[in-house]
Amino acid sequence: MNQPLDPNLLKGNLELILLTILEEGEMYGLEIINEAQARTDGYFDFKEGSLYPALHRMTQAGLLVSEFRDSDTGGPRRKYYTLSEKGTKILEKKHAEWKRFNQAIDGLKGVR
Amino acid sequence: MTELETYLKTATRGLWGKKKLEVREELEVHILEQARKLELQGLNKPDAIQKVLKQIGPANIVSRGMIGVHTMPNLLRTTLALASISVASAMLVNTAQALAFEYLFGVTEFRSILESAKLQVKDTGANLEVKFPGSEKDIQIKTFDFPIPAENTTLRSISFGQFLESTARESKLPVRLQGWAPTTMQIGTTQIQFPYSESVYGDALSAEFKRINYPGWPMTGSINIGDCTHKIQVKDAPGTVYVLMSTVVLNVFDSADSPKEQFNQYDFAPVQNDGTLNFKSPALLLEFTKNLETVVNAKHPLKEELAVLLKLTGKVNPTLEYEVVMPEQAVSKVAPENCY
Repeated sequence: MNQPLDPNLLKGNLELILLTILEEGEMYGLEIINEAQARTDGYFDFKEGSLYPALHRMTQAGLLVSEFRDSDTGGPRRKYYTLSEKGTKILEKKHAEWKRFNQAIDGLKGVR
Repeated sequence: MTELETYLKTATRGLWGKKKLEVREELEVHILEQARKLELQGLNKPDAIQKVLKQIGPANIVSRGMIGVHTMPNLLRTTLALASISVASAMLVNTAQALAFEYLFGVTEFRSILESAKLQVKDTGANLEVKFPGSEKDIQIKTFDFPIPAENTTLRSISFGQFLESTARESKLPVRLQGWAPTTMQIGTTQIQFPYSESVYGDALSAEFKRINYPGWPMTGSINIGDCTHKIQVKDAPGTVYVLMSTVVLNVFDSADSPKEQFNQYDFAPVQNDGTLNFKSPALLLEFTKNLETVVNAKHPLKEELAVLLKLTGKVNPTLEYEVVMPEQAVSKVAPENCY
């Protein structure tokens, strides 16, 4: 298990994290939580209370597209989220910003 | 009502129509799917659901987040508040300070709450007129169409704050708020029960919050992670309502004797008090002060850690009266190791 994440760091980057996860393809809420945990060894552990409002906010902002669909396993229908064209562009921009930020921090530390 | 139904009802509180049903369905599927995994590990269904509900955290946080997205964007809420203040100022004689109105009720729902208290309500289109026994005059509650852009529609609404202020100022009757979930509003001999306690107390306090520019109210939204519980001890009668205010975002948990429904708010800690408030917070240290304004205004070296505890008296005259109290004990000076 990693060191716990600073809440402010997660809060400030939630959009980037969700866009990055959904870059892999469409997912529903629980799948996003599981995926985030699995891919970061539990470092990103979203609570539903923050995840769902964020997904809905991003959908409303046009970054994501959502639709209810029947599940593949025959269970009740689920709400799937996908990156929109706008979301993809924003993600590229945010990734570039993040990269520059990291380089700047490395520069401060003397890392070349 | 099952525990799951209670959770879903709370989590979708404040949403309307199709959006409410969709959020409910999404959350229900999420919870049942997680519960099914636990069932496969041997738990029975009710226990599995209970465990999931405990893991996923308070329904109120979902509801706050969703309300923020779907019904009241901040800008719109501010605009509405300003509009409502203008309306109230125009309506009231000798209005010294209008409340900052934050919470809306759909007219249909609000009217049914009033009528279940046996009040006569007349809908004139522009206003709801409410007649309170013993009141010098009918109370006028302005109605307006609240836009719901996501559904391309509007909902005819009233501002709870305007209702509260008009009632307190114009009825000339004593007005009191008591209890939590439901909150009883007593106007003279009339008792009205409101299911949404937070909105009732929140609007009643909002004038004071506005006066001191308190940044934590109303809904602020936050990531709910971290797991550090702190305790504040006070001695008081059951049912006394407290509000914990701080410049940091507090994720407040109710005490053991609190109402059945969970009320885990960021900055509002009403409990059916057993002498202890328990709350969760990413902030590790709190220093209590008796000066409300220092919480937001002072250039105090510990400003980020200052908190103030308000004990609500229930008396509305015309704003909700309160006392600032110091807790008997605040077991939050030293951070437990698992806090971050």
